[in-house]
Amino acid sequence: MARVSIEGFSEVDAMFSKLGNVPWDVTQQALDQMAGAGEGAVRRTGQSMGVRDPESSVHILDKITHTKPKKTDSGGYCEVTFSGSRRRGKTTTRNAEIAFVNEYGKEGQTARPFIRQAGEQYGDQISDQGEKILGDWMVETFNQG
Amino acid sequence: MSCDSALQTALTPLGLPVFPNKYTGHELEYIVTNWTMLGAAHGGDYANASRYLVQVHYYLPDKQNPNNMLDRICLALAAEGFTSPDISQAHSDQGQHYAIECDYCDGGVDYGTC
Repeated sequence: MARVSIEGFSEVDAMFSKLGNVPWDVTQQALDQMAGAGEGAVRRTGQSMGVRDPESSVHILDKITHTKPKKTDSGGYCEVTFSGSRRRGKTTTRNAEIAFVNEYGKEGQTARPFIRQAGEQYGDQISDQGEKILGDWMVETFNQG
Repeated sequence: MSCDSALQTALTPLGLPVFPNKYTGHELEYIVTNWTMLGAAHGGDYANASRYLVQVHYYLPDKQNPNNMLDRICLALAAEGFTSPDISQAHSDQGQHYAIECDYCDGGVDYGTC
């Protein structure tokens, strides 16, 4: 009669339990690193596509930033966004809105979808940054036993 | 078929002006298309296919109902081999603007002729 057995299942079980409890400071570091890489990707892609605000000398690509990591029930997240706004006379326009108009265009203005392209082109490189930090933590944790 | 040809084949029968990148006419309802191309299916030091990130912009006046034409645009794109689209609303003071985003893949690039 054939016999199938698993040895060390309790160790596998323990490993998955640990994986579900990645410390917040490690998660935070991974998110921060990925958001930084995301910022760089959006900036590089924007530069290559000629993204700019034609009505201002301030370059909106210099205004890309990311929020601090925020905790959620299932993990956490960071937002990569455009900070600040442009004031012209009495009108104030958020840099995020200028970026949106660049991304989708408007009547008489060609779209420059730099945010989507950055995500598609550099998505793997961005997630690699976070995976490296989580991977290092895993190796360190499991080597400690 | 190139992405531009596929877009024209899909969208021209809808009866609206269809222009790449920018519309310079006077109609109030029209379609503008644009795309960026990424290399795909890398092998043997080459990208063996092209993946296009496509935007189709549907502009129309404020009070007009967009639903029927949006459905027709999505169906026409699907029939021509574009992926299932995402639609964003990018309206401005000048009227309604729907940005329809999807992908298109053009395989079998023959680099021997380049």
